[in-house]
Amino acid sequence: MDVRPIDEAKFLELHDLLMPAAAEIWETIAWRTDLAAARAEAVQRHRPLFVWTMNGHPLGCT
Amino acid sequence: MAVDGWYQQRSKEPNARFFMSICTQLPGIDPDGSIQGQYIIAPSGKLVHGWNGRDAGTLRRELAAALAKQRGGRVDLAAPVPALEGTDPQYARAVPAGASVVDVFARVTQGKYSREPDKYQKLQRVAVGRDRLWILADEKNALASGTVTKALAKRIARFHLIDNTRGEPPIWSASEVKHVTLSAQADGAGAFWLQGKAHLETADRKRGFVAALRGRAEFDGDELVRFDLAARGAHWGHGPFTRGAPDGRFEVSIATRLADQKSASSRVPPQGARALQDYLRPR
Repeated sequence: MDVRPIDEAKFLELHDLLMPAAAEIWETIAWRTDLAAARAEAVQRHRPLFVWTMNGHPLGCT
Repeated sequence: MAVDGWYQQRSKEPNARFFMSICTQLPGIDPDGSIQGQYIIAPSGKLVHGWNGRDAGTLRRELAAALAKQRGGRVDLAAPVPALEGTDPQYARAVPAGASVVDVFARVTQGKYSREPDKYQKLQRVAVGRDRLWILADEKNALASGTVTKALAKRIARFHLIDNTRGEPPIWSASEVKHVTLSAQADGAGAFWLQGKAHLETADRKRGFVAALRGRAEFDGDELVRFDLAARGAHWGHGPFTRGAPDGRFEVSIATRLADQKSASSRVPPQGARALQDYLRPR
């Protein structure tokens, strides 16, 4: 397996390859990450809260 | 909203205890086990609806069921809401003052599989692992004068040269860092090429990663405006929650970029920051 040093050209190619092309659909949702603030907002807006919990944060683990 | 259950289960912060009291209203939820799932909750503390399944069909079905409960008047949004104040410093995580948040993406870019994938493995085999790297203020100052601190190099190696494409990854312990170098070479005013290599390996040699690193850092005055790093190398093995890796040695590639500071995910602590002091000042 190739573990040679990465030259400048390969770096640019590899970095470009690994960047997500655009925001994915789940990223377009205005996720709240602070439970206290989200709860206060839910009270104010008279709405229930949808909470997605994972072992490892849903917005960045896998 | 989105939360890491690991913190909710451990924090003594009143809102975390409040959330746990709601989770455990869902039959089958063990507060000492996994609380992964989706919960619709009333601010008063009553669970409206809950399930564990994030495929589109399940999500649509369960959200419709929750909505039906609300429309049927079964959700009391006018119930008194308990006031909850206070924090638990042991589990509070905020971006350190003056730090930059960097997105980290990982992919398996080459590998062979001897087993046919199930529907989840099909997704995992092309999945992107995501995390965030914190670069502390003193580390940026050092980088601006051409020095990559040992702490930054070790943080990148131990917590971010990770195959996190299939689940919660194990981080590398200090003793598993066999070798890591990352240096900066000036390329004009406020610009640096970064270059390095890393060898990470468990004592039983069942999991390891040997990688080359290359990158570019740029400053506008004192402000770090670019931190693009790419790492590529040979990885082998898996962790308890990252099974299903390719056979033998496979190529893992990792890249970084400065995060959009306005994004929700930029407020989420790095996975490795669960062990906060080790993350901030890695041995």
